[in-house]
Amino acid sequence: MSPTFLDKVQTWKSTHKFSPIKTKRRLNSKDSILRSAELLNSPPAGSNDQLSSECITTASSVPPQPDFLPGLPSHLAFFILQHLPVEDVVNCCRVCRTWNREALHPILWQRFCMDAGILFGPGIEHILLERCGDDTLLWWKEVYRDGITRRINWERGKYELLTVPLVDIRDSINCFWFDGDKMVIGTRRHRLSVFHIPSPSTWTTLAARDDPKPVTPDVTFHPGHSVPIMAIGLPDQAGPVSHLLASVDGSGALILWNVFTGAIIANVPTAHNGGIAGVAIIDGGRRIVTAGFDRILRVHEIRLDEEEEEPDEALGPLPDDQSSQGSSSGVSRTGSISSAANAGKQLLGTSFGVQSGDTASVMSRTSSLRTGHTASISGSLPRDASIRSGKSIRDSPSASSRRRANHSDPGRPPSGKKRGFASSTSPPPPAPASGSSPSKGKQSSSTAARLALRVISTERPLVPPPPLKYRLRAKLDKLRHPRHHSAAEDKSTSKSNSAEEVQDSAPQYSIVCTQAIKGHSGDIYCMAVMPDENIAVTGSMDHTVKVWDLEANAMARSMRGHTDSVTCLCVRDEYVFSGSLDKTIRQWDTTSGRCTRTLMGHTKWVKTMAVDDRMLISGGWDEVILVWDWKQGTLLHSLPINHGPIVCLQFDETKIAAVCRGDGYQHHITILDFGSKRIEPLVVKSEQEEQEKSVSQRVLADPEAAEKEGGEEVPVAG
Amino acid sequence: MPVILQASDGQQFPIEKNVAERSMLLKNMLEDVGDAGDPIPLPNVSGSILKNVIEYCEHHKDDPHFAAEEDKEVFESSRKKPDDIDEWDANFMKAGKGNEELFEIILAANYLDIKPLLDLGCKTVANMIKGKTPEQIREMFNIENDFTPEEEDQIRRENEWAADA
Repeated sequence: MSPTFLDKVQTWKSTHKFSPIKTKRRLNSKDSILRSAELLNSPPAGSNDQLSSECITTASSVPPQPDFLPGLPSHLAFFILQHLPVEDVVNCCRVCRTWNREALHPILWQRFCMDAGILFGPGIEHILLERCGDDTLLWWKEVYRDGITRRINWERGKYELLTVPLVDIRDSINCFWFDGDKMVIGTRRHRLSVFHIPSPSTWTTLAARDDPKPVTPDVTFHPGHSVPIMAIGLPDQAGPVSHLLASVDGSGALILWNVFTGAIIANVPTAHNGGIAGVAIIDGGRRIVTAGFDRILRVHEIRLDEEEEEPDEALGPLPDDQSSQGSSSGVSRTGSISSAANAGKQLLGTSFGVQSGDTASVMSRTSSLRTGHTASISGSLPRDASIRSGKSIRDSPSASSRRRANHSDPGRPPSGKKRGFASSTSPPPPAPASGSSPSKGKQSSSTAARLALRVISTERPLVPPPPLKYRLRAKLDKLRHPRHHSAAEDKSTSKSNSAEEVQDSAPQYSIVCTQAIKGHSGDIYCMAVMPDENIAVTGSMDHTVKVWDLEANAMARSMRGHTDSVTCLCVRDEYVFSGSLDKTIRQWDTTSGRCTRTLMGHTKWVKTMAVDDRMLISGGWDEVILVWDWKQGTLLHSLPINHGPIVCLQFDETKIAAVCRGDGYQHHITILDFGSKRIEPLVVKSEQEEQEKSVSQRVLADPEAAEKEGGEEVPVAG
Repeated sequence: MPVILQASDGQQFPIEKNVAERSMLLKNMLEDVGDAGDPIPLPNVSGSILKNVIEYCEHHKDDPHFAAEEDKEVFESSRKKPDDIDEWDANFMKAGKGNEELFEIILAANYLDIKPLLDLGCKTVANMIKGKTPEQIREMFNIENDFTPEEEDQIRRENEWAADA
């Protein structure tokens, strides 16, 4: 449907390399305004370079264009116009053709954008192409106009309400996530889909379809979950692993996907005992944090599985010295590792696999598993990629099989959480050198698989080489989860693209739980990760918000204040915002642990929130979206949607997207589009008039709120 | 030793070197070719305008020199308001100068590369434009409206978003 997204998918499929469009966007902010300004900046009018006396005697060249003012050539127009505010420059556009052209000077409008804090945000390219075509002279003015229009719409709480069905009518959307050009949804009937949304106006187009059938997803995911998906998590989209997507469901399964192909990268059927409430991919795609109804916060490592032989050298040059180091140390494996006084991190990281493998032979299934967890918990998580990926941390297949075994046993309490937690302060167990490297069966690995491995490791040097043997795992998987496996097989046979086949048919990655921290006395309902990614925050049925230090593997704070269960969380800077069944939203300072603000306004419990630099937007069972200025602690707008309880929302510069649970809306995405109005008088005679004018085309926010906003008009209106 | 400037009409103006150096053009030239004592011909500037320019330079001869501005600084300088004009400067621009003379001073300031004077002239023009309707602007500067009615309508609509309702 869309070139860029399909390009991306195509790129991924053919090369496994995704050039993140985000990166491009990031650049398109202030810096690039300046940069492009430099490029566009016409050389300062005048004759700086005509310095010789010879030049002085020569009359300066007369520009071919008609004069801007009688006797004043056009190239001086900018020097005059730069002293004018926006509305005068706009008037200048209407004087005559010459003035119209000069008043579009890109630097003028770049300055207006900068002064007004309007950045070249996501989707702007598309707006520019849609509205200006090839007339690049218009671009910056259009960027400004677009930015100002949106700002005024936000200030006044004006939006256009769009609803677009994304899934089957019998299904409902449980969670979603969007960025500049895609939206990912997870549903009750355990489906995941990705929709490409190239431009903010795509929603308008989709809403105007007048077709009750759901929009066809651009990426359909392979079957994976078997119960409702509860949350999804994506890594930092500017990073190198923007293709990852983690989803969690009500049964405790955690699946890692490739968002461009819809293929499963790794799968943990029982990451938690019971539903998982939150998931986040952190650490550049190396780790996943989850929290669930089992009251435990878990950190999982994404590891690259590796074959037993040392095929890498034979196959050709290695992607980097890391993997060569990895494979060589792989030969001697545990012995070499334990002897290598190669930094505590390495040792700790290694101890997991070795320990579990070792104990596995002695202990019963569960206890081995417990030990495994204990060991891993006690080790502080290795954070340095180069160190980590430099060693081959291996988990013995027996350990992994035991883990599987445990997973297949749903009745069992997950992985010895008590012991894991209790022993979290004990020093890491020494890594025994015995390590019985039990992986002889691996020799059968095909060249293709090795090749695949190499491909992967070239591209994803960030993911550390391997512990688990996927083959054995896959067998076990097949036995225990035949559905998943057959799906994977179908895939691999049907796909002709070799890269994808390699990717799909052999899940080279595994997810290993390395930390499990306990502290809540009630189910965890929500989780968020602070911007530095080493602090996680959870909200629970026990009325508390807890802050976890992932590095120290311990709870850092427990913040009390809510009088009922904490149902949703979002974070910004050092602040955590928590929504609760007690109908309030609290703002916490994680550095002090104090509640710095309580926002009261919802009449029923708060289900979902999102936050940016200034605004906090919340939705709940009262079917109203509230827009707060969280820095001031004021309510900006109350937007009654009346599509039923609001279960999930997110926003960006142009829109609020929400899922409402009302009858007939549960399978729709509801978009409050603040950027769609192209023509919007900057200065209006009166709020009243303005409202009458727009009433026909636009849903109005609470007029009270709009009035409140009236005083804060954008300065450009001057 | 005075520098002698010769306007396009042959008038000669002996001025002090530090006055002449308000003009980056003259400053650079004097540095490059040395001061031979010959009149420097300025074929783009008439005597009456040059007299005005010299008056301005005389007044500002002790001002600190503007550093050569970088692109970024040009960017920042946009924040200057058009009305923050020094009183002497304001009177200087007002004193019986018509549009034509004003534009010629701007041209001369541009040609001679006297940034503060160029800014002053442009600010003065900007102040004349400020708050005016397009029609008023046309009248003031005697500009012909060369839009077709359709174009004019289209441009009006295009800019409606920023216009007074």
